[in-house]
Amino acid sequence: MSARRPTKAELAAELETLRAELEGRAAGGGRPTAATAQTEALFRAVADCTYDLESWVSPEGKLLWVNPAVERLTGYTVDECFSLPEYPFALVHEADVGALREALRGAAEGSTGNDVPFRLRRKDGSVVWVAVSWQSIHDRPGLRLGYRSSIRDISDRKRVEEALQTQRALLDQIIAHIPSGVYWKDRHLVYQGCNAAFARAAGVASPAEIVGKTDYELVWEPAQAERFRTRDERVVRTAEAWLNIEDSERQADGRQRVLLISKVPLRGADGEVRGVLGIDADITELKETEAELRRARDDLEERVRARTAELAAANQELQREVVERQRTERALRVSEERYRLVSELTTDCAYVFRVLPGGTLQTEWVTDAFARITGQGAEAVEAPEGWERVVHPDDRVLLSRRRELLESGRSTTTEFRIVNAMGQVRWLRDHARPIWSPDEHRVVRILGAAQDVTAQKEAEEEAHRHEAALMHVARQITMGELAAQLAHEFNQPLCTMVGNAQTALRLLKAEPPDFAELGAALADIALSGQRAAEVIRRLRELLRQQQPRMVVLNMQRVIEDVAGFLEADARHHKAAVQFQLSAGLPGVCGDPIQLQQVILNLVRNALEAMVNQPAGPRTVTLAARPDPDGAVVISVSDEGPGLSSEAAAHVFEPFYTTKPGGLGMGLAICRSIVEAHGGRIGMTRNVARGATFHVTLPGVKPEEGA
Amino acid sequence: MTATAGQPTVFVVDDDAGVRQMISRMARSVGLAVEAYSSVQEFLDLCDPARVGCLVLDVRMPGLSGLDLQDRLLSAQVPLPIIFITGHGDIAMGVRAMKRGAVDFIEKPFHDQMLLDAIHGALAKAVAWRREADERAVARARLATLTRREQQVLALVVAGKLNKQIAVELGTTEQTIKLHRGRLMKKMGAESVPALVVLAQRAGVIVQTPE
Repeated sequence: MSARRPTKAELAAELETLRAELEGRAAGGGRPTAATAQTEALFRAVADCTYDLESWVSPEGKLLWVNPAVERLTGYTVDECFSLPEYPFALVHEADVGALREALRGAAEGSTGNDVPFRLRRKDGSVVWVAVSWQSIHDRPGLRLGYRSSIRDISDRKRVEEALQTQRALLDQIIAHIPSGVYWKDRHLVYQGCNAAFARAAGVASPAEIVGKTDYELVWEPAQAERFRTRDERVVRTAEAWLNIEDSERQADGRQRVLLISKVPLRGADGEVRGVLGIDADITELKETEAELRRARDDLEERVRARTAELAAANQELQREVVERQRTERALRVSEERYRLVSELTTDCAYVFRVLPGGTLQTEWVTDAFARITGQGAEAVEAPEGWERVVHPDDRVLLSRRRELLESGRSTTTEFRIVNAMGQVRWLRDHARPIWSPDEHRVVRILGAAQDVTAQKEAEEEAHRHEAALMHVARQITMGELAAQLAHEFNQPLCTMVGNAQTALRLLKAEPPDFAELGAALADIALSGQRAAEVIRRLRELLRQQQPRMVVLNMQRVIEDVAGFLEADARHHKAAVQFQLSAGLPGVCGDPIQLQQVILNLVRNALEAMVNQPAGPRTVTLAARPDPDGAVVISVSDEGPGLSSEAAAHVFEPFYTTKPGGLGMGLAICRSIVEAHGGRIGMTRNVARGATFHVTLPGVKPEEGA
Repeated sequence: MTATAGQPTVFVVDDDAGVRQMISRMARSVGLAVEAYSSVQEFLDLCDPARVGCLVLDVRMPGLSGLDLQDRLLSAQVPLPIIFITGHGDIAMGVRAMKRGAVDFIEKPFHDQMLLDAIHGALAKAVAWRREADERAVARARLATLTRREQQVLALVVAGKLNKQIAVELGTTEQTIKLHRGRLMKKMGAESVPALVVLAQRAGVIVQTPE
């Protein structure tokens, strides 16, 4: 037992270790992954560094793992082991193979073995005595994973035994020289021997002098001697050891020492107690050191406690700060996001102007949108009257009017144009409100917001243009063109049906018929039929949608609106249109576009009727005159071959046509339009040649007229 | 241009899926190979113009029309016979298309035999055109192997000149011309002067008729 005072440096190192561990705990909390990895690494290190030959063999007897110790023990490297024909038997001395096989037979099935000795044949041919221990390995569900074995070199054991003798001699030396006092007595408590240390303590010159003496004959005081004897006597009587008893005794040199006393009974070969062996270790210094160490430790622990509390507090504070900062940041982000959205979404330019006593406006505040809308910097508008400077010259009058209203204390909404820095015209819609000062009896501030409505204005204009274009197109589409379009729309599914039907017939005749293709052809026929039906449905819808927009019309103007178009059409047909329009026609209630379509269609028919006439004067006469009943009669005459009486009877029926490629829809649609206007349509054959179509539309009473 | 082996193909280009499938099916029903495209652009993007076949082409389509495709094939000198299909019976358009080498112009709806006959005719034409193109290519390739002198001799041979005349014209001996003549006949793969004339014409040599 050694009693050594720890040095200051060691204490400091210990403190440092404790602190590091503590801080690690405070900071890390739990990091299971790291901990697991660390444990795993530790296990691997332990396994790899284990001195004994450790290995793991699968239930099939295949080596799964072996530690590097194998090389030291057998001379084979780990890799060589895996290529050995049979592990571990390839390593075993021929004489021991049979026995070891027998012993390891049940290893994978769960048998265990401990310290079974055998001889091992090393790679270099030398033989070494080893002992193997094994146990089977299971994974959690009880699945057998083979067995692990641990092979230990026991040649050392023998050397140890030899060494034991040497060590015994050494022990004697030690007993003689250790600082503890060692003595032994017989059962009558007579000293039989002691070491030098005890001899000194007992006040005898040499260990030899103590033999045959009792405690009464030594330097002890009588009470002391009695106490020693009592204890020794008890050990002899009870045959029980008396270990590690601390006692404070005055020794021969007169010093008070703290002793750690142990007494053991000495037995003979028959087990009878023959005496007692005592060891008195002087632990005076150790005790002092211990006390000092305890004090140091207490101090350390106190400091650690304090530091722990400090750290905990700091940690808590830090966490509070983190939470607080996150909360603040979140709030800030939300606020910033809102602000950003508002500023992005607001296109209005809000402003406050101060009205100076002279009437000059001074910008008090204006939003960024001003720069965006006008392209001018803020300084432009901050100049007096800056706002008015960007106004389009044509709209300055509007601005003056706005000023007057505002100065009289009224709010106003004005739409006006400005010219921005790029020279582009922008439309603004401005809402302004005056602030009246009762003290000064005048408007002192004007506040308001202006909105860029350029896009809206442009869209409105575009819509107007579009509508006009649409009406233009609608006017120019004649019934004939509609019919051509219809013909095409019908023709596609029709062609598909006919073609598929013919192909289907062909496929049927084939041997064997391709029923898949046949089915596809028939399916396409059905589909095309539906498509044709869909065209008809769409046409019906189109006609239904064309609800006439009834307004009071001057038919003369309605005809004049399409006159240019009719003349161009006539030129195309190498013909001319003669207009005979009576002035002062009664008003007609109707849809101008539909009525124009009727007229266009009748004129187009008339022109086409004359296509095969010999060149010369081909004239279509378009007349409009009042009827005695107050109606308006529009007539279109051609100089073509005229119509047979058979044709005349059916000409207004749908799908009746005399034109090659015609669909027979034009006049039928004309009739439906005219009848929707409460009018009539008819045809007469001309006396000379050609035919005349008449449209009679009821007039409106003069007070209803425009 | 090299001939592509395999069956000649009917390329159907029509924006109307119903009509496109119907024509494809009709052609397939008589054992023809068919490929269908929904637009001219799709055909141009996907189809190798070197392939042998004929086009069944709708005149009016959104985007590039059938007539546009005809123009492009003409200017690219692609020998692909075209059958136009129209739903409008536009005579002027038909005339224009036929003038530019369309092999047929068929109005919808049509009788299946009419279209199939047209397709068969067009495919036969395509094969013939392709064969001629290949023959021209072969003749041109052979012509390219002749030396300048041999080409001069060839021009005079096909113009009907005798060896003696050629020798005088080129300022050499009749014997030399005979040698040139033998070599160039061999190189051109011609066994007789008439065969040589045909090859020379195919190769684009202007053949002057003897005075």
